[in-house]
Amino acid sequence: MAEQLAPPRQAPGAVGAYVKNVRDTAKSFWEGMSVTLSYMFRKPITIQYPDRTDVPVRDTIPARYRGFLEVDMDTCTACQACERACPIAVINIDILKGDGKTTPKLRMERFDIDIGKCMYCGLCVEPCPTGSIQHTREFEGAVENFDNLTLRFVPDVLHPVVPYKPPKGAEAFPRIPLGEITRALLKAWDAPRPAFPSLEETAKAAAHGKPKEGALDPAALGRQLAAKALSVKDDKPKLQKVLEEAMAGTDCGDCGYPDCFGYSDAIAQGKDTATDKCAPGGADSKSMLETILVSLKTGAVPGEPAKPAASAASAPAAEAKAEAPAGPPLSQTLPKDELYKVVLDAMAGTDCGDCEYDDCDGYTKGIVYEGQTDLNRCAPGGEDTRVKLFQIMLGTKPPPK
Amino acid sequence: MTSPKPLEIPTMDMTSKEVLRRIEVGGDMLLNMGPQHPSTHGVINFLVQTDGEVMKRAIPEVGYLHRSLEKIGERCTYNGYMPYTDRVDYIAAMFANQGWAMAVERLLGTVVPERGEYCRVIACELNRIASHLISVGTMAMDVGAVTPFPYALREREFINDLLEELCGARLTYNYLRIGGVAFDLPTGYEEKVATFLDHFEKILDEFNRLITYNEIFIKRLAHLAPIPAQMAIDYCLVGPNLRASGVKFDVRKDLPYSIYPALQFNVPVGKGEMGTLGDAWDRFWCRVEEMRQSCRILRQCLAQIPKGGEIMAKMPRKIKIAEGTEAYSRIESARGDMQYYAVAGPGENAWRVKIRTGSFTAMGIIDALSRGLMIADLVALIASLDVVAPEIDR
Amino acid sequence: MQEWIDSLIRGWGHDPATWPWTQFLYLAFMGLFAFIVINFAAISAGIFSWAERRVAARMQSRVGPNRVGPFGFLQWVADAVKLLLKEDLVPAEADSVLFRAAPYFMMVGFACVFVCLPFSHRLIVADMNIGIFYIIAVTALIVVGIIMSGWSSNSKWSLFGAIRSAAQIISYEIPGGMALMIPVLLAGTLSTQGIIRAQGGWPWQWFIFDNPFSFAAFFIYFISALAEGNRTPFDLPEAESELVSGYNTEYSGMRFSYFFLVEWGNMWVMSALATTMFLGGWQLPFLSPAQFDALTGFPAVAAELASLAVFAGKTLFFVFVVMWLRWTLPRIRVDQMMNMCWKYLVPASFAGVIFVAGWMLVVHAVPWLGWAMRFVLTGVATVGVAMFALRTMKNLRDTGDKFDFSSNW
Repeated sequence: MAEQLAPPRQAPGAVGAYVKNVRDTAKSFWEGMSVTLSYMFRKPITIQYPDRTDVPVRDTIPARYRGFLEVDMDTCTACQACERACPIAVINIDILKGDGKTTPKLRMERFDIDIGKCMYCGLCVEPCPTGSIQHTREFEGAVENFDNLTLRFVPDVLHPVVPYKPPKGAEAFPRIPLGEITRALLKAWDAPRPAFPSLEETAKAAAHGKPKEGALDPAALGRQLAAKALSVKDDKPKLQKVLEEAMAGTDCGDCGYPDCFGYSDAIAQGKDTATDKCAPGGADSKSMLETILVSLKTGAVPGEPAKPAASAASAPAAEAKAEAPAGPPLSQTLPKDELYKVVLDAMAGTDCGDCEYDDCDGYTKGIVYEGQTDLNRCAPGGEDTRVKLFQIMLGTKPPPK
Repeated sequence: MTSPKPLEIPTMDMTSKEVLRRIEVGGDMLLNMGPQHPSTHGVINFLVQTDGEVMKRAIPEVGYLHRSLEKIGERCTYNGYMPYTDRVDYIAAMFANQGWAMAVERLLGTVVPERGEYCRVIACELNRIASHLISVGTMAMDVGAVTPFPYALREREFINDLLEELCGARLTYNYLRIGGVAFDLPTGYEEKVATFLDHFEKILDEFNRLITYNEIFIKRLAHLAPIPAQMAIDYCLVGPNLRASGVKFDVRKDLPYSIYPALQFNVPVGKGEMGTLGDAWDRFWCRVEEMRQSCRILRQCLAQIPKGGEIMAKMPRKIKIAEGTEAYSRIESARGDMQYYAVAGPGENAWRVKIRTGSFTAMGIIDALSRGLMIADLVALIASLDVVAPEIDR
Repeated sequence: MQEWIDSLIRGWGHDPATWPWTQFLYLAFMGLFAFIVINFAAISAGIFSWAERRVAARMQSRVGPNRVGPFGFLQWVADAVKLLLKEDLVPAEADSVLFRAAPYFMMVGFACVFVCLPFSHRLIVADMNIGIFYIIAVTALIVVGIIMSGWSSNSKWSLFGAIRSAAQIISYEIPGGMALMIPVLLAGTLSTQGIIRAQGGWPWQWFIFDNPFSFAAFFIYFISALAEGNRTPFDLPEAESELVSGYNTEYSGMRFSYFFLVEWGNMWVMSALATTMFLGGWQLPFLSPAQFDALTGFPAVAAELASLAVFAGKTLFFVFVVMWLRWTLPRIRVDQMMNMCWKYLVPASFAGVIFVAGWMLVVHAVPWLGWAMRFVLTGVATVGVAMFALRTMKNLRDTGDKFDFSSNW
C-alpha cells in the first residue's frame, strides 16, 4: 500500500511546493499556539470538589438529578409497583398479610433498596401512586463494606409498618424535604458491617409464625375437632363439648357469655356464628372454630392440609370460597352490590393502578358492573387474589400461568 | 529463521492461539495491542503481525465487553429494557434509547405526539454533538495532540449539564420511553440551549484552527487508510465512516423517521479535501461538520417545537403485545445506522432483541486496511473509525 | 573559574604554580562545582516538571496539581520521594550491568553540558575556548545511553523505541550543529562567553536579528533541539506507537526518573543554548562587556545579579515556549520526521552557513547594510510579536470568554 507511506502531498523537489510546505507549517504553528495561549488566560472550568467550591455541590445539582433513592414510609401504600418496575430487582419489599380485622390487611416487614446495585434509571419512581419513592440529590455514599449500601426503610422487621391509605381523589401527598431520610440512613465510610445474625437468631426468625415444637398446632387440632364435630353433628350437648375444646377454657367471660359453656352452647345451638369472641384463645381459637363451623356447613372436613392450614388471614376467604364449593359461583348468586363488596375485599386494596384502572374501586366496578373478564390484573394481590377472583366470579380454579 | 513449509496466512475465524502459532512460525513478531489500550475506545484486542515498523496485518479480537444485552432483553419488560439500551452505546445513549422505543412503538402501532418527538430530537442531537466531541477529541489525542481532548470535554460538560437538567443523568440517560419521553423540557431550557449553541459554534471554528487544519495533523491523517466507496459499502460501514468515502447515505434523509422531514440540514460527505477521498482526515472532517449541522437542527427544533402538548402517548402500564409480532427500526446514531429488531413474546417480554451497530462492522474492515500500515497509523485508523467497544460487543 | 581559585590562593599568600596543595584545591573545587551543577540540574528538572503540569493544565482549561504545598509546588518532591521508594525492578533477562548503567550515561551526557553554560557575566564553571564544540560532542553521550537502555531491556519494543530515538537524535544533530555554526561564524569564536560578548544587550544586537539566515538558523536550531530532547512534536520514542514507553519501558523507580530528569533538564539546556547563541545571553542593554568588566564594588554585584536575572529570564521564556509547543502540536510520524530532517533542515542549514559567510563579507565592505538589516529584522519581529498577541486576544474575544488569569488556581 504505497499511498499510505506517501511522502507529503507534493514531492519536495519543486521550489514552490517546498515553500508552501514551510509556509503551511508555520501558519499552523501560529494558529495553534495562539489558541493554546489564549486558553491560558481563561478561567479553567474545573470545579475543585469537595473543598474549594463556592456553594456545596449538592446545591448546584438540578432538580431532576437521579441520586440515591428515598422512600417516605408515611406515604407508601405497599402496592409494590416500584418493586415490579425495577428491571434488576434492587427493591425488596416483604408484605405481611392480615385479615383486616384483628391485624391490618397489609403490613410491610421489609423495604430494602440496595443502592450499590441500583442503576439509577428512575423506572421505580414513575409508577408510585403517592410519590413516596423518589430520587434524591445525594450522591456521596461511599462505604468500605458493601453490606452497608442497603438502605433499610423499615428498620426493624419485628415492627412492620402499616401502609398509607391515600384519601379518595387526592392529587398531592405530604412529604418531608427530599433527602432527609436517606441522609440519615447513609452509613459512615468506615461503619462496621451489619452483624450477621447468629444461628440461633436465624432459627428464631425462620420459626416466626410457625407452630412451636410440641405446642398446639391449631390447624391439626382444628381438623381433629371438625371431624369429631361431624360425627356428633346432631347431638347438641356433644357438639357443645367439642366446641368448648376449641376455646381457651378460662371461663373469663370476655366473650360476653358467663363462661366457655355459654359461648360454645350458643354456637352449638346455632344462636351465635361469630368465631372471634374468644380473646384468650385468640387467633388459634378462631381458626379452629371456623374450621369446625365450615365442616358442619359443608359436611366434610376441610380435607386438604393447604386450606385449613392457611394462615388466619385466608380463613375468611376460605370461608367465602367454601360456602359455595359445588354450587354456582357467587357472581351468580349474590346481588351486584354484595358481589361488589366481596370482590373488593378480595383485592389488595393498595390503589396502585397497575390494573390499568385508577384504583381498586375502579377495577372492582369493572369486573362487577362492566363485564371485565381479565381477572389476572391485580399484581399486588398476587396469586391469592387471583384464586379468590376466579373462585368468586367463575367458581373455578384459575388456569396455570 | 526459515519456515520449512509454506506459511498459512492467519484469518479472522481462527482463535488467537492458532494465529499466534502461524505467525511465529513465519518469523514475524506477534504483538498484542490491547485489550487494555491507553485510549478510550474500550477493551478490544488487536493481534498485530509485524516485522518491525510496518505491519503485515492486524486482526481485531472482540468480545471482551460482551454483557449479553440481547439475551437480557428476553427477560425484561419492554419499559424495563430501556436502561439496558443506554449501555449498548453509553456515549450516544439517547440514540440507543430511540431505536428501542421506535421498535416497540412499531410493534404496538403507537404514534408519538409531536412535542414528544421534538423533545426526542433535541435530546438526540445534543447527544450527537457530545458523542462527536469525544470522537474527534480522542482522534486528536491518539495522533499526539493532547490539548484538543480537554477542549472537547469542556464543551461536552456543558452538554452534560443540559442533559442532566433535562433527565437527571449525565451518561446513561433513560430519557426516552415507549410512546414518548419521560420528562418535558424544564422552564427556561430553550434559552439555555440557545446560549450553548451560540457559544459552541464559535468554539468549533477555534477547534478547526487549532487542530483540523494543522499541518502536522493533516500530514498524519491525509492518505491514511482511504476507503473507496464500493469497499465501504461492501463492508457495511455506516455513518460518518461511509459518508467520508463519498457515499451520500443518511438514515435521517433517506429513510426518514420522527420529525426529521420537517428539518433542514445538510449531510456532510467527504470530498478528499486534504488527501485521498475516504481517508482518515475525511472521516475526522465529516464528524466536525456533522456537529455544525446538529447545531443547525437544534436551532430549528427550538424554534418549531409546539408550545404545549403531550410528551407521551397513552400507554398501558403493562405492555403486552401479540406473540410473534416483529418490528424493525433504523435510526441515524452518532456512529451510523443503528438498527433494532424486536419480536414480541408471550408475556410482557420480548422474545428476541437484536441490535445492529456500526462499530461491529467497522471492526471487520480493519484487517483489510491494515496491510502495510505502520503501527502508529493503526492507532490513528482505529480512532478515525470511531469504534466504541460496548457497541461492538453489547 | 581557574583564575578565581588562583586569586584565592594568592590571597592566602601562596604562589599557585609552586604551592603543593594547588591541584588538591582544584580537585576540591571541581567536586564542589560538580555537586552544585548536578543539584541545580536535578532541582530545576523537578521544578520544570511542576511548572509543566501547571502550564499544561492552564492551557487545557483545567487546574494542575495545587494541593501539595503552596500552588502544588511540593508535588514534584512528593513524586520524587515516591519514585525513590518504589521497588527496584531489573528484568531477569536483561543485561544487568548495561541496564543499570544506561541511565547514568544519559545523566552524564546531560550534566556535562552545564559546565560550559554561562549563567552570568562571571558565573561559568569553565569557559573553554572550544565551548560549543564541547557541548555538541558531549550531548552525543545521551544517544549511547538510550541505545544501551533499549538493548539491555531485552524487549523487542524497547529496542525498536531505542533505535528510533537514536536515529532521531543522531539525525537532528546535523542541522542543529550546522545552525549553531552560524553564531560561531558571526562571533568568530567557539567559546560561549565569547559568543555572548560578541552580541549586545539590545535586541538588534542579538545574533537572531543579524540577518535573515541567522533568523532561520535560530528556528532550525530550535526544532533540532526539540528533536534531540524527545519533546513533542518529536516525542515518538516516548508516548506513542508502541503504546508503551519505548526505551524506558522496563525501568521503574529511580532509574525511570533519571530518564525524565534528563528530559526536563534538557529543556533548560536547549533554552540556555538558544539564549546564549542567538539572544545575547546575559548581556544588559546599557552596559557593554568592557564597561561591565570594569565595574567594581556594589555596582558590579548589582550588575552581576542583573545579568543572571536576564539570562534566567530569557531561558525560562524558552522553556515556557517548549512546554507550550508540547501542548499544542500533534506528534509527527517517524518517516515524516526523517523526511523533515534530511530534506528540509539539513539543506537549509548548509545553505544558511554559506550565505552567512557571504553576508559577513558583504557587511565587512558595506557596514551600514548590516545595521540596516538588524533594525529591519528587529522591527519585523516586534510587529510579529504584537500581531501574535492581538491574535491571541482576538481568540479570547471571539469565543466570548473573558480574560481571567487570577481565579481558580
